[in-house]
Amino acid sequence: MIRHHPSEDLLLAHFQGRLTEGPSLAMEVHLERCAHCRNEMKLLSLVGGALLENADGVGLSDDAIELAMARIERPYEPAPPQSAVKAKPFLQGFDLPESLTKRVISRYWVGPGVWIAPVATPSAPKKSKTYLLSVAPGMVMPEHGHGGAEMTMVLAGGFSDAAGDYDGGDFIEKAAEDVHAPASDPTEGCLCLITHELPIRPLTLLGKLLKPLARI
Amino acid sequence: MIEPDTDMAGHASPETGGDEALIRAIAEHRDRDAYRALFVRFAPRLKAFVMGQGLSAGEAEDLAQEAMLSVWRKAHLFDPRRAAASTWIYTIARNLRIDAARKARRIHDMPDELTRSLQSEDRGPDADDAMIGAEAAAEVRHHIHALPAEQKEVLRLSFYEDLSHGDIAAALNLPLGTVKSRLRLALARLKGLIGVPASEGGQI
Repeated sequence: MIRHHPSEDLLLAHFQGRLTEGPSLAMEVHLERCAHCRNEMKLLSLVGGALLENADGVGLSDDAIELAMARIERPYEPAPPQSAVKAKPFLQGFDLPESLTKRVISRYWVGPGVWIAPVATPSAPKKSKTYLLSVAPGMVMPEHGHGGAEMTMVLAGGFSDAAGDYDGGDFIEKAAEDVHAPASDPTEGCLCLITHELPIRPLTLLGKLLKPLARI
Repeated sequence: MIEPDTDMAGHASPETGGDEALIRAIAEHRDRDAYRALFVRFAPRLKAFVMGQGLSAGEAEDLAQEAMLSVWRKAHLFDPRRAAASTWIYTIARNLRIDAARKARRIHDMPDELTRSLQSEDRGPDADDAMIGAEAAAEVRHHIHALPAEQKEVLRLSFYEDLSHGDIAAALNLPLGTVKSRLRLALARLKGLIGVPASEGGQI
């Protein structure tokens, strides 16, 4: 059961289209699995529609209706569905949406039991990073702080830190000043989608050694 | 609960069910009169709505035209049990606006279904999703009218002008916490009215 959800602020921002590409992707992946948050979004649409109906209209140009009636007469073929892009072998076996897997080309190991796969986000701001992180069972990640906000979407397995335990479907937002040392689930390990605004600041020496290799 | 108006003559009526019936006529019979009636009702409102979000009159009218064309082409996908006509049309327009803004920012050309929210009209129904249809929308409309003025104002700024909590706080010269709680109160009241509980799932 999903226990950690995006905040109301974040849901509203996503609804308004104000999120950049990384956070937007993390939100979409969470919404795909979470009926509670989908219903929140539905309510926002409902309010938007009600406000639309209550609104006073603004005058259209003189030929607007004729233009509209002419346009519907044009022949229209809906675009054929794009052929599915097969997920890379290292991603198969997880139930991941194609919208995510099609953005992942390769992974690289950053140490025993830990790999990272960059997630393509062409329109994201320069200093942000979005990637998949896979951690083998029972490993502790180096303690790190966050230069900017970080969002984590747990895709499989789980992890714990001082603030709580997190499982598949959970969405966690960490602020810039939060520092933590996450530990992966002792049996299943953890696969997460992570997006953050500035490079992560590792606090321990091991973390500092790891950082150039991981390129995060 | 308000009974839907099932008049099939295609006349737009302000009562619940009129717009839904128009869309059904478009889906089932390609009814041009129904489309014209729907266009006259919604295009001016869409234009007004989108102009509040920083688009010029010309851009706003273009977007209203695109949205209504989409209504014509996708009428067969509309399910009145899951959304009111106004909710569905609002969502189409919102998705178009977000897509356009993202395309303008895009560096590389990349097909991206993610610009389409999972709230979009294309997404199939899910068993857990709340059934929030036309009746609920009518209740919401009436109750937005009845909200305290300060809650209505915060709703307007959030949905018309897409402002963040911080922007609204600055615009109204209010503490951020006050803005958040007014929006939360307004939405919580509306949620209670349409029977969507705070936890998972919901039924009218």
